[in-house]
Amino acid sequence: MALCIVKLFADMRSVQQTQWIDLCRATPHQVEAWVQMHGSIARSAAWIAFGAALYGLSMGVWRDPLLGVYVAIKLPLLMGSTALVTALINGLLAQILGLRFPIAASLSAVLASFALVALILAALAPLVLFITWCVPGVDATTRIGHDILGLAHVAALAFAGVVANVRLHQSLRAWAGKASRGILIAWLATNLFVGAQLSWNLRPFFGDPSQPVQFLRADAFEGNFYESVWSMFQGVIDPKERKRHERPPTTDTTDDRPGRR
Amino acid sequence: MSDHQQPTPPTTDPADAEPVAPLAPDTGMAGLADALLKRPRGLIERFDRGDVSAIEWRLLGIALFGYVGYGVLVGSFSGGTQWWAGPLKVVAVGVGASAICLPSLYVFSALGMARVRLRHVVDLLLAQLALSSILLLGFLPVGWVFSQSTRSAAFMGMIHLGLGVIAMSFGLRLLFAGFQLFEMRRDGYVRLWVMIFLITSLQLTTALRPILGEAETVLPQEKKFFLQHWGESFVRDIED
Repeated sequence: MALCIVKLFADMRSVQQTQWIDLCRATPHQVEAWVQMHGSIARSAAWIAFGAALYGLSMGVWRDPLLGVYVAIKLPLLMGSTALVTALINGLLAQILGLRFPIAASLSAVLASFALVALILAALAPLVLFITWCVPGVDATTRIGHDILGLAHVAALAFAGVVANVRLHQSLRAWAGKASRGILIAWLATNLFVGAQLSWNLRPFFGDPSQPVQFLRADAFEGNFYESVWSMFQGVIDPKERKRHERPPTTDTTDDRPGRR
Repeated sequence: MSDHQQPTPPTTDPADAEPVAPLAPDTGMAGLADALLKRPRGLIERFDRGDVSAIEWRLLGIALFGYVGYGVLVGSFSGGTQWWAGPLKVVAVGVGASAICLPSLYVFSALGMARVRLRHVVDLLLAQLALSSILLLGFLPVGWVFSQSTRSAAFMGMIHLGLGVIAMSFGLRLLFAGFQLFEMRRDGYVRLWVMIFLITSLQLTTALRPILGEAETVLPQEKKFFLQHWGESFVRDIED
């Protein structure tokens, strides 16, 4: 016990000099010291802002540089607001399931995981920009550029998400033993449930070439992600429903540059 | 990417187990080339100890010399503007792919638990580039023999690609050895990075085309994926 306390104290001292790259190779003990440390939430938030903004810029720039700037603001906002909205329920679920952490420490653990996602995405941003340079632009007659970039984003986000969750699970296993799997599943479920809705509110991220460049869609706060999925499902099984939900072509005259429709 | 991979086993090569003195910080270009080929561990030990500014510039010099030399051979196939565009583009492929992939290598090596700073990663990439370029210089006569016996750009492209991949694979082997000396425990992340690096390099050869053949413009007017470009080049060559 005394040895553990000494080790944790030593880890906390080392964590005070933590740089962002150390998050990538942190052991569960170091992550625990990190989440217990005063100011770790602010530092994780800063890393999320940096990493997600960089990746957001590379994500939106294919459609339009202005959308790149918008997404550089929106992607950190999405990650931060998802963590904040789920902080209370994640902290409570963790305590019920066996992790004796205060709610702030649970939030810090989730934010550290999000920060790792953001840092991995930031490292992949130059590659995404290179792919953006290599694929046909938004004015091209084919959708191949849109589709290749879409797949690249899915691969990058999936990779970053899997790595961060594997790391989070390793830490949870050291902190909560057998309860770790339940806690991870509970956190994942709430984060995905809320994150999907918030990403629907904050769209567009990637930019449909047929839609104008906007910070938020005009119907950002009408309906929700799950209604939208349900109506798509109805459209697939019932063509009449599909016609009813189909949106008329855009009549927006504020964006009349060539190729922007 | 699984984090449950077995830790990389310690090397069993007795030569690697012996302590190696770090390379002197003022080693010249010839000494560096010699170290890259015969004593890479001494060079990596030097990276770890610091005081490497002079070595970094010399490694970059070796890399540029090798790539420019090989680029002249590549450009000589078509002549004309390719005499200067070929070497420039070969350098751009080597240095450009490394620059694009540097941030991901830094983060991926850290995910593999390597005890590296950004400067170590830059140094290892420079060593990889320098070793690849030395091997490319060694392949110059081989490439020249083939270029004298064919007018098929697609065939020559495949020859250069093969030689380039062989040279690069030795460079990447050095990179792995370097990360193992920096205590990398999971090499899956860097293996994934190698795939990304190779695809980036191959795509750059297409994005900067023509590197070997002739075209009306120095850079392409149409954007293509490298597999599509190669396929079309082969079909055109067969039809001709």
